[in-house]
Amino acid sequence: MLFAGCFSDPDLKTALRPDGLPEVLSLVSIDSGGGEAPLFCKYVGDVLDEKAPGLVQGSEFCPKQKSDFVAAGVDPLGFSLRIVFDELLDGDAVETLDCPADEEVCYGHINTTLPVTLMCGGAAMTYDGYYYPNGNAVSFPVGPSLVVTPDDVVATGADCTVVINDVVKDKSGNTVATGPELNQFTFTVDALAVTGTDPVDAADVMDREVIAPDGAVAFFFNALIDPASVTAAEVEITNLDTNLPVPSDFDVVDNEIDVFGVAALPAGNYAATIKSGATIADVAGGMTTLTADETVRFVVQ
Amino acid sequence: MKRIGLSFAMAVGLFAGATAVDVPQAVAQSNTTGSVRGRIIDKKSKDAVVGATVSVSGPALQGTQTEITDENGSFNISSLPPGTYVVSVFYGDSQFNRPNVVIEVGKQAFISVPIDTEVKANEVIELVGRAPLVDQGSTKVGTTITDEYTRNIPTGRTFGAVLGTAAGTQNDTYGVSFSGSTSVESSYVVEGINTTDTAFGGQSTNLPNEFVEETEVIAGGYSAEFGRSTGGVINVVTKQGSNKFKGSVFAYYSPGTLTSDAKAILREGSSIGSETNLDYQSDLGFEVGGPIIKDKLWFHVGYNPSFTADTISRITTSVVDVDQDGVEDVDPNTGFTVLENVAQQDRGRFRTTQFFTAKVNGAISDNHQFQISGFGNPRSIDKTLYRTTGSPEASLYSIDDGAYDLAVKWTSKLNDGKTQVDLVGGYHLGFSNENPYFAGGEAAQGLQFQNLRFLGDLQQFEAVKSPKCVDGSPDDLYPMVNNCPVVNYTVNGLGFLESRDNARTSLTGSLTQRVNLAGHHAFKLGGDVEFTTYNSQRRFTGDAFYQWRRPAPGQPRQWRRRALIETDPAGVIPCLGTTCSIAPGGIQADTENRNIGLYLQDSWQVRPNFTVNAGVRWEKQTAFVAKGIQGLTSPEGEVIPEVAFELSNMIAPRVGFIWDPTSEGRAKFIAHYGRFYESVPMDINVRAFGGEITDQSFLDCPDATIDANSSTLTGCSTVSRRTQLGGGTEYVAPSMRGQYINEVILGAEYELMADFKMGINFVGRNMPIVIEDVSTDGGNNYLIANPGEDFSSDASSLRAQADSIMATDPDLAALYNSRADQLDSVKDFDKPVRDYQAVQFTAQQRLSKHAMLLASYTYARSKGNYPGLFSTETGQLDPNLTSLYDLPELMSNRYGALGLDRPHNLKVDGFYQFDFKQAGLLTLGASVRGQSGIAHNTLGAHVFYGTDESYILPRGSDLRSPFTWTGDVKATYGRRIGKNQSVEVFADIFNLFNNQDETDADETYTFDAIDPIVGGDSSDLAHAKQQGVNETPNLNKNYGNLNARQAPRSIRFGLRYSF
Repeated sequence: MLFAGCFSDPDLKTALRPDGLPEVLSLVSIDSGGGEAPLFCKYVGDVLDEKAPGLVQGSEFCPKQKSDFVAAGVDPLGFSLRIVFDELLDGDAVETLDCPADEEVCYGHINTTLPVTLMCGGAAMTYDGYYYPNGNAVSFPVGPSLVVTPDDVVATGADCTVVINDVVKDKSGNTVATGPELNQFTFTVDALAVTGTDPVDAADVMDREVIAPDGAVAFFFNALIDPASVTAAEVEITNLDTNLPVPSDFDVVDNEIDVFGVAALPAGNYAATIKSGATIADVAGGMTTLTADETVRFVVQ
Repeated sequence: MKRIGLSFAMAVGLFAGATAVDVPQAVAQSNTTGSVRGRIIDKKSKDAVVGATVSVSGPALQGTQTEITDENGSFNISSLPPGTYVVSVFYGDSQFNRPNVVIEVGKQAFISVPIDTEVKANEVIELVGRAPLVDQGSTKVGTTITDEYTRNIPTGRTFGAVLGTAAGTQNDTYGVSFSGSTSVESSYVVEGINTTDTAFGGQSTNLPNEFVEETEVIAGGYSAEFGRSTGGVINVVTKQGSNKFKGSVFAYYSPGTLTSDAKAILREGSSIGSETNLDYQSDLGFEVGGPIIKDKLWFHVGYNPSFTADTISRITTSVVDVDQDGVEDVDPNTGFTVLENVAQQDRGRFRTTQFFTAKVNGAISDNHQFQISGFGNPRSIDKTLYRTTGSPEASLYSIDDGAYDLAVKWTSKLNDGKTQVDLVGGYHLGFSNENPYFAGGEAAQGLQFQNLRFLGDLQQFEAVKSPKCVDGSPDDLYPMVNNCPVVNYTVNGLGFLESRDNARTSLTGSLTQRVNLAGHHAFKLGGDVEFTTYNSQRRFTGDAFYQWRRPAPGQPRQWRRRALIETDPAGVIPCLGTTCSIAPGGIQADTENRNIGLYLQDSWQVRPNFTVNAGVRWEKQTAFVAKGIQGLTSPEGEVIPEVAFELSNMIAPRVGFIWDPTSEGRAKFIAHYGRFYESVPMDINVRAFGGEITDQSFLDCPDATIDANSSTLTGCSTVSRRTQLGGGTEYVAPSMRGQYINEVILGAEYELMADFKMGINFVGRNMPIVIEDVSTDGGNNYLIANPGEDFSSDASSLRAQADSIMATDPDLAALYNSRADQLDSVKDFDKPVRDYQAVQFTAQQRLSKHAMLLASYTYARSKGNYPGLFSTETGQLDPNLTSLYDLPELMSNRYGALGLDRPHNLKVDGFYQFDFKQAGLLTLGASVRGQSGIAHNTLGAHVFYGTDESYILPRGSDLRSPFTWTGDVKATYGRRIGKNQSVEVFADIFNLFNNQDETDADETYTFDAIDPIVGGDSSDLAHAKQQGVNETPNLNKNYGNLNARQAPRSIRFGLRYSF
């Protein structure tokens, strides 16, 4: 009794699930800063699949109950997808390796093996990426996985689909079952929005930040902004001491709109604003119309 | 406690009732003695001889021991020191003597004595025959190392060096492993007292074979009186005096010139290597014993200083590029990069060990005897090498270590020998002090380059400045390549050092009572208490150690500074951030433990040839927090308690069956089940409850420079990130259980002919519960628990406590809730697995017909994810605190063939004596060992835990090292030079055939941080990536290469004068 089952491999929580067809445990968004969040987690009924990433390094990744799961969005500034499987894949089938002669390391590519089909806004996206055989449900990053990175930026607010192709096989030659949330997954790119400003707005005069007279107020967006989509009428700087606008101009640099005075601003309290109703577009064609003023109050000394 | 008290009362009642029972039964022998059991029968009728007086006498026994045979003609005499005895039977007016009855420590000899009850009165009859070899008293498996063995078989000089003789044993990093357990799980009992190292487990006391009468090596199957071991039990009895003055003077000498050259171990990627060559090894000693008062008081003393001198050569090599093509030349025969020596430095190392023993045996009467013994093995090692890849001046240190022991024993037999009381008191003091050898070493900070460097850039630290290593210099013979690569080069200081002492004060007592109740019983009630200490002074030289880190992609070059932090003088631990200051001179932790054990066992002889041994042992271990931090207050307002943890429900049942189908003691079938609890070594007290907080600061160093004469870095002062490892004390799961193994043994032994037996055993062990530190929040906090077990009830209790204080003490409530969350996640860890299964075939011939043989073949498999109290891969020796369970991801791929998995293990020892009568005695001995190699791993670095902590492929899935074997021989010529004097000269040749095959291989696949490929195989390695990036790892060029070899052939000469 004591030794019944000895040397039969125990059921280890850290083990993968090599038997059966390969299954996707999670679809993960990797944002431009390297942060990862789940777009999809595999549930059995309402309970998280036992091999899916739950607690990862002490933080909840996929909630244990499906009802608690809220899919994350995708970062329009640049994102990758991590498709996490429950077993190892045939690495040679999904990835080619580039090994520069002057380096001792190699780099993976999937732009010729094309293990997935990626569509956003109804258009097929080209991509590259790599196969990451390392990891499991408790490691960070979780794995094993395919990492898919679109070659081009994707329009904000776009609906996307990723389909796993038959080139993806496990080490026994099995392919992923077909169907929604089996080999087909949908996700949405975040809508265009302001994500921050420099300086930070403050209602209390004492809390307002000081900028130089020839300084600018930066409005950061979550996508690369199309400069042509911004007009001078949509931005302004107001002298809060006189409540009068001052001559202002703007620059669009990547994902920020910098608003500044045409001339050096005299000492005083000011507010820089992108006005409600402004329609701003990203370089991929996504756009948003502000429903309220985006304002930053600041001080010039 | 209540249940134990009841058991004790019941037992006393049984003993009280037993005084009226006049039946001798099997008696469990004490640790330092053996026993003889037998039956007296009429030679013709085969009827039992009732009422005969059986007397045992011998040179090892003060006085005689006597019993009357019962209605079955049976007798049983215990507490016999190991030796050869005469069993005399007095019946009617006649005496029958049965000589040559060999009693071994811990064993029960069985003899059947047929006597002629019709013999004439006053006649003395000498009977022929010897006691069978088969131990009829227990289910123990293992062997007994006798003086005959160590004198005539080529072996090491100490009892610690011969433990590997037993089947199921093998050497590991820190000693001898038993039945799949790591060596530090074993218990070392000398003269009845526990001498196991209190800090890390393992052997602390050692003695030369000349001081030892017998060593009982118990690999499994031991009864309830033995505890605190999940490995084996080593039971050593030293020599004692007798009524005659006896002793010996001896000397050994191993010249370095007769030691074969060690084959080089080539390593890729490092231009600094070392070789250690023996100059000489010698020892000279004596031991003598005799009577102080004949039959009443004996003494035995011995002294044996041992000296070892060797030369450690630090060899600097350069890569070669003869064809000047900018590519390092490779030897087509070996596949290794061609290296040529460019410099060599030789350092002499000297080791001295002062072995001593002193013992007094006294007999107040035949039934009341005592013994006092003291022994020790202090050692001094001068100028040994701390690390090879370091600046030569900063790499030497000295160690003083060893142990002193004092044992006092009292044995009383009462009630005509049916009641026996044994008391043993002991004091063990182990110590180890590490000190830099070089002047100023204590103040020098170690600075280590963890990346690839070239010695040409490090010439300021190299005492031997080899121009050939300076790339671009006029002496650079191979200007197209970097000549002298080195990794982990360390300058200035040594790094981490410790000075410690470890003491154990112990008292053991037992009461044995024989009872006639549905057969014959020998009840034994015993207990022991231990007060142990581990006082540790731990420090980094110069108070800090700096490591240059390979920068992550996009990150700046950084130095990592590690230092021990001083406990906040305000009494708050851990101190945080800038309030912390580095502890000058390190930290001191004085810690204590209290261990209690009680047991009750019964050896029930149901029939003369069938015995049931059943018992239960209860143990309790109380571990205390270091004295210096007890009562301090944590930042959350929690007062640090006195007690770190308490393991009190350790109940270990043992049951065994022994059946002798011959009814003559010549065979036995055994079955045994036992549970054995670990005694948690006190390293955990110091590391987890000793106030240890390691500050880890990352310093941005874009332009750092190091002055060889400076102990600090310059241009490297900005701390960009700071973390602290450890919190001074760790939280312990309230319902944590003791770590234990289960064991099943099935076996049989049969004496094929007189003095020759063969046996077969199955040994199975598993380890379902372990104690380890775990972190469930990514390494921010750690707690000590049983990983894989459910602590949700503890969590609920803690949350209830938190709720009750939330309003008044929100910080403490938050701490409780945080701990509750951690407790809830302990079950998410993989459960520990360590399964060991073995089949052992044994053969033994006791010295007779001029020959002795001890042989075994073991087929064993050891699989799991938990090797034991140290990591067999990284060597980390932190019992119950290994990094294994620190994070859930560290467990990935850990299941597989363990580091001690050696399927085949063959051991054959024997000698033959050629008796030339007056011309002397020539003894030729031999020892053959063969074993499978270990299965290797494919390891990488973990991003936090460093090198070799990530199992890239499943444990043991790489190739095995090859099967290795070695043969040793010994020739001894002895001649009498007087009535009681003799001289022997002898020579040992170890590894006669100079086999220097691979015993280990480099398992480091990469030094880069990499996550495991879970369940992968070698076909997956090509696609492996460094952690989190699309970049395959930089490979360790030495991966898979041979890393260690068998020791080369050596020769030892010796001389012994005995009187």
